[in-house]
Amino acid sequence: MTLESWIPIGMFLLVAMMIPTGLIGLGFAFGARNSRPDIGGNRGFAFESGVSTGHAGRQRNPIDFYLTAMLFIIFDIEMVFMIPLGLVIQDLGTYGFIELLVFVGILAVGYAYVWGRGALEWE
Amino acid sequence: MSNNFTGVFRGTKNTGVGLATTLRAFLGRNITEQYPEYKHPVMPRFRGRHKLHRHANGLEKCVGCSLCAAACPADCIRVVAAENTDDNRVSAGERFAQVYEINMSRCIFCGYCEMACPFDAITLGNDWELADLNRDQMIYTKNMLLADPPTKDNYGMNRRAVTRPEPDLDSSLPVWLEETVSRERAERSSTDLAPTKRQGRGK
Amino acid sequence: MPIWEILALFVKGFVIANLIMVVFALMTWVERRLLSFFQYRLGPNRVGPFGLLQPIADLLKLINKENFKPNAVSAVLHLAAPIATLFFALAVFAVIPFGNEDWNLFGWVTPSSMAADLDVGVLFAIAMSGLGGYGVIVGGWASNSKYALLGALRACAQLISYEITLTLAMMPVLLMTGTLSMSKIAEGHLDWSIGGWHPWFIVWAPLGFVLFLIAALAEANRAPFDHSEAEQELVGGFHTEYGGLRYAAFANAEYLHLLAICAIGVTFFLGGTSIPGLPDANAWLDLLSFTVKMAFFVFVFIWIRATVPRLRYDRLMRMGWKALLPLATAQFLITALIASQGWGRA
Repeated sequence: MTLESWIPIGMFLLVAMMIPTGLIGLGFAFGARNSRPDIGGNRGFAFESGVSTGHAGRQRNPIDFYLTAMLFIIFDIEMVFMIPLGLVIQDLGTYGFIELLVFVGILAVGYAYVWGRGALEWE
Repeated sequence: MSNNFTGVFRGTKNTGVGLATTLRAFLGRNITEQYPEYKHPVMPRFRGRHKLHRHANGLEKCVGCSLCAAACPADCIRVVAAENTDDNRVSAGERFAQVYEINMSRCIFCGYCEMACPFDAITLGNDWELADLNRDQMIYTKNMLLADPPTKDNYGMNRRAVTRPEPDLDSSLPVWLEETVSRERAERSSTDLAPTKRQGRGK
Repeated sequence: MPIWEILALFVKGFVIANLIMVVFALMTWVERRLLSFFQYRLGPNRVGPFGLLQPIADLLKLINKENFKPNAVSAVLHLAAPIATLFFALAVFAVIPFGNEDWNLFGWVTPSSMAADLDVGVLFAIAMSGLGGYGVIVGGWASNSKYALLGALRACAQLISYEITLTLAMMPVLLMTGTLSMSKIAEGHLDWSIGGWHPWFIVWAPLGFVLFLIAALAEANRAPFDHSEAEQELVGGFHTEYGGLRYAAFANAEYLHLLAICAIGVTFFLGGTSIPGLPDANAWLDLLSFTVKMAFFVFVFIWIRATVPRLRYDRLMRMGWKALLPLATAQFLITALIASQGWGRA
């Protein structure tokens, strides 16, 4: 596979970039103008059902999100190893399958540990 | 662990039941009524837009007694009576309604005016397409209430002029009413009918 | 590569990308009509015949909207997020094959996939669809609103949780085909047979198909997994502070994601363009069969949206990690056994 086979992809990505920029450019070109910029103060507040927004939106967030992200990295690395192994498993035969079992087994131990420690619970 | 998997199976079963239900709805007939083309028929005693009635000889039944206005819980009827004279006989009684207005945006269609009326001059009809673009147009005058309900355009709006002719209050106004009417007219022109101006900080 | 061919590729990409946009516009109409039918209603039927011009009316309305930006947002990121989301959603279509054979356009032979038949097409598609999550989280963060940020965080946690299941559910097909090229995967079921038949991979990995369907719903942010929006609790989720065409770009990307995942599902589990009993169809028939299969997917997704209420967020995560992941691994191991032993290889 040469770099040349990526040229079509590149051209498509160019188009894929043009469409959203063009779409939002349309909004800039034809969108309604704010006829009263002098009273624009309140309408620009972040949404809070008309109640005062209090402090800014960026604040501390539950740890679960970060934990999930870390777990994702572990299991995504699993996928990174599994895809190449999966592609050649027909050539490797039984040997490959046992290799796979060992790999999944190691992963299963980690999975059971994570489950047991309650990292998969969401509060 | 086992709890988890029985949950999966239970969830699958319940989802299947739900999917079957919605599929039945999908295959069933829809119940949408295509409104401007098809107008839902109402019951005969449905209380819609009011009507004022005339006697067979063309005289109005309403004698301007204001009982309807007194009975109205929403206080949306306004009657100003005037004396019938020999050369200007409007109603069958002694007096007639010089001004008869119903504010449809306040009316709750309770039908008390109908019950209060001693001469069956006002009844509630079946016309229910009362939406309009403008609050002023929601005040129905005597002429509008005496006439049949107007034809509606595609959106159920009345096909009538945007500006409504002012009632002619000056002609044959009794002396004892002059003061009241002119005061009311002044009030109305300053509050009700005046277009609301928004006070904004100008540039 | 000569310059005219590069230009031709550009034109081809432009035409096809715009066709996708037309399909997206139709999708909004189809979804609203179908949802209405599921609720005994008619849906939009006023603008044009059967309401078909409704998307155009919507687009005109959105173009006319003020290009609004709230006060305290990060201006650049607020603008970049919808662009990026739509870009990545479109980019997935670069590798999706809509037919088996090469198309011959005025003597210019070009693959029937969107742009090119990459050797690593599957990886490209997964990567691009995963990168779409960036648009969501950047948009949520740039909005400087609590709802938007929470929606974005939820969306991201959900996306990455279900991405594992999605990829694992796709693995059985990769095991059996041994390739990452989308067009070869579409034909891959011909190498395997049960009693002389060449069934689609949905027969070989039924559990994988179901898991793919569930994970695809989550991946495309569709009900019952639409936690990035969750309009009852988070107003609009990550696009709370968006309006006009910026919002349209998000909605657009969401539908394109759905279409892309449907197309991947068709390629993987429903035999791509193949029609059972018709060994060698022509290019138009290929396109038709692909479209019909995709329409089936889309119908199922809308059907599910009309039926299933949104899952509570903790249950969503629990289902993803504790139920779908082990099940996907089980299907993966079973298929790995079949593939490594070569049972049923034609």
